[in-house]
This record gives sequence, C-alpha cells and structure tokens, in this order.
Amino acid sequence: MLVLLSLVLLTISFRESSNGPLHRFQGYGSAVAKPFQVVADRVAQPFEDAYGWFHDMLKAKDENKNLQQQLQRLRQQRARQKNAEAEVARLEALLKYAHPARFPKDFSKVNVEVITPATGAFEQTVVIAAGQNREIRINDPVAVADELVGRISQIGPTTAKVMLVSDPSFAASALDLRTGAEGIVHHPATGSDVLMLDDVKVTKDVKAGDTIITSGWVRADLSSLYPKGITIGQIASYSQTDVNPNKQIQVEPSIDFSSLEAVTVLIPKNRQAGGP
Amino acid sequence: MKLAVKAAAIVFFAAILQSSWFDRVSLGHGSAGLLLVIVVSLALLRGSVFGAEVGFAAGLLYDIATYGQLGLTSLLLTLAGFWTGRYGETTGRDRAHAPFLSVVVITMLYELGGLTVRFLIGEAAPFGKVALHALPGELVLNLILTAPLYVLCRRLVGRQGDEARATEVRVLA
Repeated sequence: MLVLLSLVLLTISFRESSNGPLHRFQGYGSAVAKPFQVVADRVAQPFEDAYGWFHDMLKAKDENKNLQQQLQRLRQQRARQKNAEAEVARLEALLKYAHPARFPKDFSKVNVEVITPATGAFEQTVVIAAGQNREIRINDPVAVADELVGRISQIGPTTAKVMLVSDPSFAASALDLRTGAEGIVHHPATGSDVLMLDDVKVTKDVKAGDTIITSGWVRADLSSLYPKGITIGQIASYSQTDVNPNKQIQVEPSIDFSSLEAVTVLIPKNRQAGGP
Repeated sequence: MKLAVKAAAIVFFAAILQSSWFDRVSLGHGSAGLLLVIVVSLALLRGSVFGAEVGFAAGLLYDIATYGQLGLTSLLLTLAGFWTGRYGETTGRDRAHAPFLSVVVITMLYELGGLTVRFLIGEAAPFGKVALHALPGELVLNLILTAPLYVLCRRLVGRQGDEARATEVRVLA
C-alpha cells in the first residue's frame, strides 16, 4: 500500500507542472521545515567552524605566499581593467550605444543562506532560505560573487530550489572571454564533475585556462535567462576530430557546489520598477 | 501510541538533520545517510510493517524538506524498511552483526534503486559516479553511524517483543 502510494506520488509530482498542487504543497512543507533546518545548521556551525579552523591552519602558510603573488598580479590587472572600463564607458556615451541589462549594475542582489546542500551523487540542487517573500521568481539567476551557481527552478513562500550549473538539465549560452567563441554550457550527465561547452566550431580559437562567461544574448522577443558576464568556469581541456564540426571542450566550474553556504539571487531592477 | 510518537519524533529530527547538515558530511562523493541508518535500525528493532511505515514517512519528509522528487525517497525507504524488518523478524535481530550487515546491504540497494528509478523517469543516472565515487564513502560513513544510532534507537523504542516479556517474578510457594 505504501509502495503504491509512493509510486502515485512519484508519478503525479513527475507529471505535474512546477506550480501544480503537489509542488505547492512541497513549497509550504519546506517553509514549515525551514526554521528547524536553520536551527540545526546553527547548532552544527561551531563544529564546522572548528574543523575548518584546524584544516585552514595546516595549509595557511603556503596559501598566504600564493595569495600574495596573486594579489600583486590582480592589482596590476585591476589597474589596466579600470582604464579600459573608463574608455568603454566614454565610447558608449559618444556612440549612444544601447545594450541589454548588465551584470551586476542592472540587478539587485538578494543574499541568502543555503539551508539544504547539494545531496550526494544524484541531486544537483540546493534549497535556499528565501522565496516569494523576497520577490524571487522562477528562472532568476543565482550566483556567488560574480560566478554562476544556477537558476531558481521551484519556488515556495519562504524557500526556493536552485538548479545548479552541474545539474544535467541545466544549460546556458556562454562565450570564451578571450576570443568571444560562443557555445552552450551544460553538464554531460555522465557523472563527471566537469561541464561541456558545445557548439563551438573547430575554426574558433580556444585554449586551456580561458575563462568562460555567460553570453547574455538578446533577440527581438526573447533573451537569455542569464545576463552577460557571469563567470562559469575555466577551460580544463579541449579536443577536436576531423569528423566533428565542433570542438569538444571541457570546462572546470569555478565553484565547489558541494560546499555552498550562501548564494546571491539576481533580480532585474526593471522588474522591481514594475517591468516584466 | 507512545511508540508511534517516539518514532515520529526520531524520524522528523533525522530528516531535518539529514537535509540541513548530514548531506554536507561527505567522504569522496558520498554523503552520510543518517536517515537511512535510522530507518534500518528502527525496522530491525520493530519489524517489517513498522519499518515500511517509518521509511515512507522519513522519505516523504526528506523529499518535502529538500524539494526532491516527491515519492522517490519514500518508495526507496519504504522498501528498505520493509526488507530490513523482514530480515530482523526471520533471522537477524539477535545477531550482533545484523545492524552493520543490514546497513551495508541496504545502502548498496538504496543507491542501486535510486539509479534505477531515476533511469526509468528519464533523469541522469550516473552509475559509474555512484558505484565508484559515492558508494565507498557512503558505506564507510553509514557504518560509522550504525552503532551509535542503533543503540540510541534501541534505547528509545526498544525491541519488538520486549513488552511481552515478564518484568517481575512472584514466588508462589
């Protein structure tokens, strides 16, 4: 009887839309469980912090040396970048250049705690402690700093489910920051930890270490879910064959999805101002 | 009634702890299965029907708390609870190794069952990742949890048949 009931639940929840009655029930149920999850998380936090402290102490010296060198490099890069940004802004003003919503300035951020982490080998989703109460909607992009985490796939009154970039159902249009080569990033569903960048022609120039960002395209009545410029990862390796017109590119995600503790949901400012 | 309330409380807190904290405790790609070990322990102690009921409730709570595919974890844990309960009722309950053996076997069957159901409903079912990367770590973590959780469950809900035993003796002559 219970097996049958489970199968009925499974079938209905699998077939109904994301705003169907069972999913709504799940949203309310998750909202009820949320305070308990938050309490459990708070109780466990000191133990996690203690472990983290000891773990970090062991590798702090080497890491400090590497970070000093990295900081020096990044300072130089930042100076060059600021110069370039100012020049771009000046040229855009001169040309009266129109562009779609840009990340991060055209988005407001909702910083929110992760209450249920990505679970095991199957689920590449997390549950966050904010939902409709913070004006979050389905398909809103989710990031950590300027790195893409995923998008909102299900929403409840005070909680929401985030489909991670590493979920096999996830896909985003992306481009190589160095060369502009465009493709589609998705997870290969083989259990691998790396992502694939598909639909990049063999004639396009890419190399290992290139940064991959969201391309944020806009057509007449359609646009990408993700604004341009959110980092997805770095190219780990690529290959090409004579018979395939596209390169096979593997992308290492920038984020360790198993240890997410807080994320930022990006909400377009034009929506808050009463836009679509 | 008292038993049902105790079991409900255990399952509720186990589902909350699993979804909020134990999913983060990982070894390799495998995470600790507190809820699974609790269901196995309760089923071993209280029998197949009780095990199935506890498994169903635990799975439902977990799926609700994590926005999982509703019914999937319930189905797997119901079967896990029932089979473990049958093993306990027929041969295993009095053997010291029964909880450990049950946890090892049920962990493997749970993952295999999860892969099968996901494959059938068209979701990703990465057999290699589960078998080679997740399962070994999960087995180790679940085995570590087995002894303390089994003892805790036994203390809280007792064993089936314990209530029927004589608790005092009166000398008649």
